[in-house]
Amino acid sequence: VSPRTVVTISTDAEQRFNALFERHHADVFRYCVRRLDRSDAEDIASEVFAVAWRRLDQIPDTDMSKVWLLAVAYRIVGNQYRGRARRGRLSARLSGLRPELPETADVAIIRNEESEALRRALQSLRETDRELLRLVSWDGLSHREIGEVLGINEDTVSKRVSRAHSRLRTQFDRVYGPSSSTESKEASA
Amino acid sequence: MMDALQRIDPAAGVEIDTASLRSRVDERLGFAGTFLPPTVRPRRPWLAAAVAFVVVLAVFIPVMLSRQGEAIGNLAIDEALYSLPGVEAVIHESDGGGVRTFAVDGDTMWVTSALARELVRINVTANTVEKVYPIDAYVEGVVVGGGYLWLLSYDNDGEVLRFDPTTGAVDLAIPLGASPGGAKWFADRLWISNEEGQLLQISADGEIQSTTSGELKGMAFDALWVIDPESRVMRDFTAEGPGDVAISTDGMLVGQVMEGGGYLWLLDADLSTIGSIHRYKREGGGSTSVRVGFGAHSMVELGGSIWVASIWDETLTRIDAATAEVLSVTPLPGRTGAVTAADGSLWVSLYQPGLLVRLDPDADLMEIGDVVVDEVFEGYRLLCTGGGDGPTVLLDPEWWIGPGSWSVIQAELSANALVCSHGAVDERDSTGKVANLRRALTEFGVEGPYILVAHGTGVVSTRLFAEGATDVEGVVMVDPVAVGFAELLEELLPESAPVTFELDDPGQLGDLGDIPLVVIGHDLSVSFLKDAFDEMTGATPGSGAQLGDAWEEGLSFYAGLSTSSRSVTALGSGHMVIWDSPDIVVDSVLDLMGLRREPSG
Repeated sequence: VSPRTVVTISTDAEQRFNALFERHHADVFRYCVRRLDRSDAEDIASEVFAVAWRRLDQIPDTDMSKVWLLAVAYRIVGNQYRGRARRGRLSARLSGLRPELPETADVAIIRNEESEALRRALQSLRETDRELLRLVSWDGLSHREIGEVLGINEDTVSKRVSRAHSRLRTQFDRVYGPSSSTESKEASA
Repeated sequence: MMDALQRIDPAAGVEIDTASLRSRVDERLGFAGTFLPPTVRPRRPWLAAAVAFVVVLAVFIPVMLSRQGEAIGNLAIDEALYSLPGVEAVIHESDGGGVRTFAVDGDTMWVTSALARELVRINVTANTVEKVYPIDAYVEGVVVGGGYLWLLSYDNDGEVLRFDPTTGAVDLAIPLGASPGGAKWFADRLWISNEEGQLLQISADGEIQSTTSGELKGMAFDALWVIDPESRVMRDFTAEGPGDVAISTDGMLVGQVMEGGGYLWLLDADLSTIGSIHRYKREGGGSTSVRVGFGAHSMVELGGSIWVASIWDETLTRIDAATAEVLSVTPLPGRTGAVTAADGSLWVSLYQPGLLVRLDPDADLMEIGDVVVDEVFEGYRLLCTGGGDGPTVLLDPEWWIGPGSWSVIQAELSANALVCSHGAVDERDSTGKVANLRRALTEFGVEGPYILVAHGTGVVSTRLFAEGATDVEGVVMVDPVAVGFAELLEELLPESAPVTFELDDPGQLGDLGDIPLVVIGHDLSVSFLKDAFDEMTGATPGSGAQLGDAWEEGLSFYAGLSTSSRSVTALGSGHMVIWDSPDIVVDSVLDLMGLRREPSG
């Protein structure tokens, strides 16, 4: 008996769920792969859709359905991070070393010096700042959509994104030097 | 900068295997359609160790912040607990936090206290501590048998200590080769497994008679229940060998097995998630799963009910053994770690603040009105009681304690208002915490305006909640952690200190405008920080005083956040004001509501 056959679902619900999956699975998977390694990303993305199935009646029937799914992904990935952090602290205790932040997939892709500096600057920020910057730059969400994902109002998102951006700039300048920062180069190009 | 960020998007160029993803989703839906199990992911062997470390953190930090020399034994919580319905006795059996385990032998209850390194003999009919024996070992587990007590020690790579109650001393130490697992006295010998998956049989004179493979999880229906480490199948086991029952435990972290109401009960001891227990027929099969609190830690059968203690959200869940229905969920103040039955009562160990509470199982115990257990929130709890026309009171704990720690205060305030304690254990992301809270309030219709009450590190999320909010009528900060305190502590603590202390830094926060604010500080004149910090941690002399000064400055800073604030000192109280002086917190909240407590007596 395959797993699907033990699930009793109405045709309408199944059709709606299938449409939701087709429409948004790529966005959900990308959200996850930006924050986790690939094997974890697929696992978490599937968990997001499992939650979506159980709460199908709560998902808005609009463009906001993607935001709803990303909000679920945000919670689940957050738990994954916290689990890693706990393990990190355990390892640190066992080895007598200070804990390291968990290394996420955004580490692997960066190669050149400036990108490396940007990566280091990004990694040096606290997780809440990193998440805001990822949501804006990588997931392409508006401040209103980010507010829905994080459960805060749009004005607060704007303020925090601005602060996060400033902190990234400060950290980047510290690592890479203010005279050769990205925007300076872009401006002179 | 934003453009540059886009160029380092890790998802760029990553191919998506849609078929594989869909297949995984379908696999999960297969589970979801049947019984919504809490655990569909594989467990990992490091989990128990990771949880143990979190426990250590959760124990040391409160000890550092709340101990006041020898005064710890006189916590007001001892008295305050009697205000909770059903509490028959409160026994302070040993100092400090840490794991307790029980063994009941007639009128005697033996309690081990791991961190205090003590074995305590309690008379359960008189509710008194008869004798405290120092034990030079970290003990988590005690078994009575063969005229001895057998203590499960984690020292020296794991050993079992034979304690002779007639002499009051350990007279034998038997190496286990690895940390101890489950143990039972059965068929005139001790059966004990270790974390390497070996099951040893030890005679009363301490001789290891056999070593086989297996993880011992409990005793039920006159048999031991042992999991095969390879197949994860659990079997009944007698002196003659394995029986006929086979139950797959794959995907579970079985912490305890027992019988109750004619059924077999398994406790899933994955402390990292919402807990569950599973009921099987005596002969296996017919399983039913019951969700309990966050971090289910121990269970016992009494009066036709199964009682489960959940350590992280600090609740005791009562389940009808016959129907597997949850009958009640009772919050208790402090790590609700272990539960047992003796002399017709329930005995619950509150690891922090280190108290043994005797409860009448037939009493009308305090109950949580709504228990939010939501998979999206993953362990986030909102525990609401009471009701009223006035503002809703939201109680925000420190990151290391659960919402149950507020229960004495919650019980008092519930007569006047809807009161909700909330939080997720080990939650130090304040932004996420506030987002969860807002969503939970909306989803479950818990309407404002709100009075926010925060203890210690909870002040961060409370300030975030209040920032820009128009539905906050008042704020009570209970011994809030000073801004920059974590950094100062890190700077002053020697590298050898047994703790780390992490706090979420939400960045610069605004003030509270004219929102009425009460700041309750602990009694710095008796503060542990000033008195004994240097000696206890090995820090440079003067460090404790420096921390005390920083704390004091923090209290002043917080009082300055509102144009309508007042400061209160909880005289004689340590940092755990919510346990030491719950009345001050209650009075402060009532004051904000324009109410006063009726004088007692």
